Order: sequence, then C-alpha cells, then structure tokens
Amino acid sequence: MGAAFVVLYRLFLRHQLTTGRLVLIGSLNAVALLIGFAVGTSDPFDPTQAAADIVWFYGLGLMAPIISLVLGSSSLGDLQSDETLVYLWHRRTPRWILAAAAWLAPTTIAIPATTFGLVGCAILAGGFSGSLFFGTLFAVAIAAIVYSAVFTLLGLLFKRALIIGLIYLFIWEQFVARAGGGAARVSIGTYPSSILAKLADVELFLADRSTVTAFVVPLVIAGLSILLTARRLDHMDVA
Amino acid sequence: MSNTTPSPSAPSSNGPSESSTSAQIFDQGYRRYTGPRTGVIGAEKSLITFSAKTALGMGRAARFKIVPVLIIISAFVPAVVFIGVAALFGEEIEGFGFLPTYAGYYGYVIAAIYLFAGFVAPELLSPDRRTGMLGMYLAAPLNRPTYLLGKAIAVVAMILIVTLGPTLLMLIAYSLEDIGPSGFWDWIATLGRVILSSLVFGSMFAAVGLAISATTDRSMIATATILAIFPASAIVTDLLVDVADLTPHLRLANLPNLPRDLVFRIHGERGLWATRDNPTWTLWAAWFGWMSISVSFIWFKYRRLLVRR
Amino acid sequence: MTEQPPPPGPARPEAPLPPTRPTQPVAPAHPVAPVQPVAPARPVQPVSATNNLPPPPAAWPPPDATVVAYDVSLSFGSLVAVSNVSVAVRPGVSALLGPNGAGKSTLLRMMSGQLSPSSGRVWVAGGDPRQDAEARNRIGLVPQQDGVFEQEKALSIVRLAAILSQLDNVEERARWALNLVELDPDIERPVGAFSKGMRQRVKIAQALVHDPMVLMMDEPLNGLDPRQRKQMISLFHDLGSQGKTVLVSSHVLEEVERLGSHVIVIARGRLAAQGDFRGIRGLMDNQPLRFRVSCDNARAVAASLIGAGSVVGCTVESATELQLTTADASRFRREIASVCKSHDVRLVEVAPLDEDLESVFRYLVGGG
Repeated sequence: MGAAFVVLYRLFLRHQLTTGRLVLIGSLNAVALLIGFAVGTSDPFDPTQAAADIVWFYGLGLMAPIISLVLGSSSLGDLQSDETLVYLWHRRTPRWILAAAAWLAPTTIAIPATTFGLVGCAILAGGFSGSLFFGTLFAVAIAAIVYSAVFTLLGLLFKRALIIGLIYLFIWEQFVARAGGGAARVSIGTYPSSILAKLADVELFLADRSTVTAFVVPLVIAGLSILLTARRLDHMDVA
Repeated sequence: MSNTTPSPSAPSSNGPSESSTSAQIFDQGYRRYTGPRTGVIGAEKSLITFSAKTALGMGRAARFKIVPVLIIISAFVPAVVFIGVAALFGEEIEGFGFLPTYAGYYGYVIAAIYLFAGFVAPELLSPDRRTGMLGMYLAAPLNRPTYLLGKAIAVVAMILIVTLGPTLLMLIAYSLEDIGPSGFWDWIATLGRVILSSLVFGSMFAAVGLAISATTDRSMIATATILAIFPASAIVTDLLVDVADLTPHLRLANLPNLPRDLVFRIHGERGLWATRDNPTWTLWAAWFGWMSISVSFIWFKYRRLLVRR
Repeated sequence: MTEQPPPPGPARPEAPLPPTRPTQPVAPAHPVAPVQPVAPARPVQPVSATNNLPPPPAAWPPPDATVVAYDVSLSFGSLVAVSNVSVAVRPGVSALLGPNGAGKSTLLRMMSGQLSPSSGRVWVAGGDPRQDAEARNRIGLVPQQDGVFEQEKALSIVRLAAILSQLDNVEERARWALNLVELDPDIERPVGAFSKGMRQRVKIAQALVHDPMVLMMDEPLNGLDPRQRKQMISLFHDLGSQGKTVLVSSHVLEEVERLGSHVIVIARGRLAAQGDFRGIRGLMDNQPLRFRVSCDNARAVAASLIGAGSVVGCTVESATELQLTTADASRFRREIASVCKSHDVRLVEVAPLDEDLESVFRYLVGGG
C-alpha cells in the first residue's frame, strides 16, 4: 500500500510539472512580488494590514485557487483525457490510494508555489511579521488542501474542468460570495481568509469564521472530495 | 474504367448511349463549379454566418447549444424583470432609482458578457488552426486580413447579442411605458448611445478575446486564459491603486471596468467610483490602446503563421 | 471447442521466469453457472450477425472457461455497440475478430472491467473485474490507445505496474517482462521518444509483469514490424501453451490466422460465430462450398456430378480442371470418388476454395 501510494504520488508530481504550468506559477509569483514592491515603495500607513490585504485579495483570491485549479484539475483529468488512467485504474491498488495520491501531488506543489510569492510580497511590502507569516502559511495550506481536493474531483468529473473551475472561482467566489455574508457562508474562500485574519490579527472583509471552523470545514470538504473521487473512480468507465 | 476524357457533348444521363465510341464516362465524379461566384463579399458573408452559427451551436449537437443559450438567457433575464416592473408600476417608480440606467445595466450582465467572450472568441478562431480549416479558408478568395475581419465581425456580432440586445429591449419597452427618452431626437440620441456603448463594450471584449485565442490552437486553453485574465487584471490594478496607492491611471489596465466606465461616460453619467479620477479622454485613449494592441497582436500572429493547404 | 495447436519449443532462454511468482489462484470463470441448459453442446456456435443469439448450449459455459461474458449489451446513447453477446473463452490463444466498429473493443473493455455493461454479466477467473480487484488483477490488459506515460522510462512504467499489482520483487519482475518482449530495460530515453512498435511492447510488458492468468489485448500488433509481429505471436502461443488465456482483438485477418484457429467473430455488435474457423465454415449451410477439382477428364466428371445431385454449380475451366459449388460437402466428397472410379478418371486434387479465414469472415460479416 505504502509503496503504491509513493509511486503514484511521484508519478502525479512529475506529470504536473510541465513548462506551461511552471511559467504560470512563476508569473503569478512575479506579480505578487511586483505588488509587494509597489506597496513597499508607497510607504503605507499600516504595512502589516497592507501586506495582509494583498495576501487575502491576490494570494487567497487569485493565486492559491488558480494554482490549485490548474494542478488539481489536471491530476486525474489529464490521465483521463490522454487515456493513460487505465494503467493505474486496472490494477488491484485501492481507489482511495489513487485518489489520495492524485490530491496530494497538486497540494504539495501549490503550497510552496503560493507561499513563496506571498511571503516575498509581504517582505517587500514592509509588513512581514511572524504572525503574518504563519497566517499566510496556514491560510495558503488550507486553501491548497481544499481547492486541490475539489478540483481533483472536478477534473475527474468534467472534461472542461479548468473552465468550470474558473467560472466557479470568478463568478461565485470573487463576484457573488464577496458581495455579501449569505453567499460567503457557502464559499470556500472565506475559511482561509478567516485563518489569515485570526492568525495575523488583521481585519479582512467577510473573514469572520472562528479559528476552529476555519480549519475544520475546509478539511472536511477536502476529505469528502477525496472520498467522492475514490467513489467516482470505483464506478466510472475507463477507456 | 477508361481514362478517356469525355467530350463536351457526352451524355449527362447514366447508362449506355448510342455513341459509337469505344469508351465513355457517365459519371466523372468531380465537376467544375459553374454556378455564380460571389467573390470576397460572398465568402465573407458565408464565413460570418457559419462562424455565428458555430458560436451559437446551430447545426451541432444539443450540448453545444447549452452554454450560449444559458448565457444569452442570463443576459436578458434582468432586462425582462426590469421591464416587467416598469410595466406594472410605470412612472410611479421612475424617480426611485430602482430601474437601472442603460449604462448601469451592464453591471448586471458583465458576468454574462465575460463568459460569452470567453467561449465565443476561442471557439471561432482556435479550431480553424488546429483542424487545418484555415488553409481551406485561405485557399480562395479570402486572405488573412479578410478572414480575420470576418471572424472579428462574427465575434462582435455575437457579443452584441448580450450587450446590445437587452439594453435595446429596455429602451423600446421603457419608451412604450412612457418612461423612456422624451421626444424623437432625444430618443434617437439615446439609441445612438445604446448602440455605441454596446459596440465599445463588445469590441473590447472581442479584441482581447481574439488576441488571446490567437496564441493557442487549443480553444480550452484560450477560454481559460480569457476567463482568468479579465478578473486578474481587476484584482492586480485594484491592489496597486488602493493598497499600493499608485496612480489611478493604472485602472486603465482594468480590463472589465474600463469599457464599463466608458459606457457611463457615453451616457453622461459619473461612472464607477474606482475610475472617477480618470478624465474621459484617458478612458478613450486606453480603450483605443487596448484595441490597437490586440489587433496588432492578432495580425502579428497571423501574418507569421504558416498555413498548410 | 477446438483449440489452436500450441507451438512447440523451449522457454525463451533470454527471459527466464523470475524465481518468485505472484500467486495465481485458479478458479473457474463463473462462480455460478449463468445459463440454463437448453440445447445440446456443439463444438462451434455460428450465429447470423443479424439475428438474435440462440440460447447457449447445455455445456455452456465450459467448466474450464476463464472469461465468461453472459448476454452482455452496451449502448452509447442511441448507438448499440454490443448487443446480447454471450461468449466463453478458455485457456489458449483466441482471437476476437471483426471489422472496424463491430464492437470488439467495447466487448473487450467490458470483459476487462473497463466498461460496465448495460445488461448482462462478466466473470473473469471467478470474479467480476469491475467489482473484484483480485479478479481484475488476474487480467493483463493491453489497451488499444497509443498513449502511455510519455515522460517515463520503459522500466519505470513496468515497475509502476508491478508495484500497483503489489508484487514483491518489483525490479526483477519488471526486467523480466521487458526482456520477454525483447526490450532493453536500461533504455534511458522516455517512452515518448520510442517508436510505435517499442511503445506497443512496453504496453505488453506492463500487462505481463504480474504474470496474469488472462491476457486481454486490443490490437496489440499495431505498429510492430514483421519480425516483431512474428516474435509477439510466438510469445502469445507460448503463454497459451502455458495454460494462460490469451485473448487478442484484431481486424487484420493475416494476424488472426497466424494467432490460431480459434476465433470469436463480432459483427455489428453481435456475436457472429465462435470456434475453429474451419468448423464454423463447415456449419454454414446457407453458404455453398466451392472446390477446385483437378482430374484427367473434367467434362465427364462435371456431367456426372451434376446428375448425382450434390453439386449445385459447375464451371469447366479446362480439360483437366473444374470448379464446383456444393451445398453438402461430405456428400460431394463421397460422390466424386465414386464418379471418378466409375468413369475411370484419375483424380489429382480436390481443393476447397473458400474454407480459409478470409472467406469465413466475408460470409459472416460481409453478407457473403
């Protein structure tokens, strides 16, 4: 079991690091650093709050979900579209191992790929502190965990998962959920935002979940998504 | 079958003839086209019609119709609701600000316009390169500029369905309910502003969408990039202006809000709070700038493109 | 059921089996006999491609069948890809034959567990490969699609298959499987840089790595050069003679002819026939058999045979050769001997003209 998980995880990891995706991750990080530099040179009134605003608005609103979407939706989705999934699917390895490895690989890339740019941004913005660092780290980790799990499932369910994911992110998470409290309750983004707000001790819009809720709910969503992915693998037809 | 070339007087019907020649071809297969030739204009019309049908999923399986139909419906639903409210309450609610202005209506349908641009532009441009259809189009009588012009007209026309359609419907319905523009010339001026607004909006989304579609043969990648780049530009410019306190002119790079604000200016309204600091001429300059960059980029990509026939 | 002759010969010296092998629990294909006995057993079951399958015979499925598909159907929307097919496959090499689009791949995918039938059931070595991971693990699968993990090396792909099959001696098994298909395990190039034939052999190696009881291969000889084809066919025969069930799907008749005589013919989504193709031909009562007869007085023999009644058509090609069409081959064989004897004609040769696989295939799927 352990060997199967490790070999699958490494396969997914190698499979995801394509040139296009690396360019996308690099570009998003470069923009984060650029924003941090711009904020740093503008001498903001409250640098910590300014840095937290960037982490929230850009990092948790754009960077973490986009990176998780691009990696997560391709994790099983690419194998399904190039018809190589059958080589893994047809073996006796339990489905949940396949689902867990397919989720963990994008998560492992998304966490450092997002944190690096945002921490650099916070340093450049002059608002870097221990609490902001841990707030960013945990918020990004939770965002990557939950988004990767949801988008891994999405990649297995839909051929156009990338498009559907973007529509979800920009129409629901960015447009509708940020318009008011009701919609925000059913938005994934509010939970990492609440972690950032609580751990970094800053004020963020609609980031009012308790610390426990902000950690537990995304983990439950991620767990359910992995289970649904395993179940889908069990019941699906594979070409 | 003999390889004898048929004489012009060869019988056209199938079956043996009375001819004394030893070999005859009754069905040559390929025949030279002898019908009317409509030239570039005819080809352009065909290209635009075919592209529009493709975008709307006409002549394709039902699943290709779902997305365009849903987007078009979602663009018209608010207009229908407002018209219904106007019909029920008429002048009683005119001064309360419940009914949106023609410019304000775009706020309700920006998501539909953004989605339509994201799906239509790649669907009309990228597959032609991937499947080799571009070579067929360019065989004759279209060339690269006329092909691109036809595609651009088709994309703009499609986006006009969701930009011009609802606002025009509102104008007509409001006028019938006596809450529209007063007087003929005022009505004509409002109509002109409605058309100009939708063209400004539609052409900007179409140009940027086509420019992104010109970069890749895979329509899904192009759609994803279009869907990401519009909100990403808004997020980054808002951060740079609001948090980094940089010049408000950076908002001219806010792709969804720039045409939206221009529409407010066209209708003589103050516009979005975020871009109020920018004078109108800067908005027009930025709009022309984005249009020029997009068109130049599309031409740059297509001029260098190797087309196999 | 007639099996193909197992090719003689020693095991490949360059690819000996590794010392430890995965356990192969031998189980019948079907835990419960899936059909009611309704008709006498027959060696072959030719069925019209356009008619419904008749009820399976009493001895169906055979007790040693390792793969059983019972009354399976699958539709994709309004398209019926496979319709009410019942087929049992025994150890040895069998060819799944049919024209493009006949439903071979769909049937193979249902038998391997990749697709769930709309109706009917599949058993492979005692279990349903869709539900039972152990049953699935008894199958070695070579899918039709060309795609493999492009950026991986051949050894990595086969090693991955070995690990996912929970084998112990992974490295040894992977090298053994690659050697078996005559591929160097130490090639450094990724599979994406391989030729089609090499990729095909990687696919076969990953299917063989866990030493499966059943090998299901969809067009496995595509892209191989003639020498590689010969070598692969020989490997399939070796595996068949070791008691494994080797099911090969193909639409290339020459390939199938070389694979062996046992065929399962699929046409328009239905089972057209199963068994030895010469036996299938013999059962085609509605298709007259054609023979070429060489003798020293063709005209006299032709006149007598037509008078005798077993011959329904005759063409005298020359003074010493004629072609005959008969609806009753055995009666014709008896009659020609007596006719030649009575006319004192020397009979040189009686050669069947349409008992080859191509003719059988043409009659079954091409409408004659």
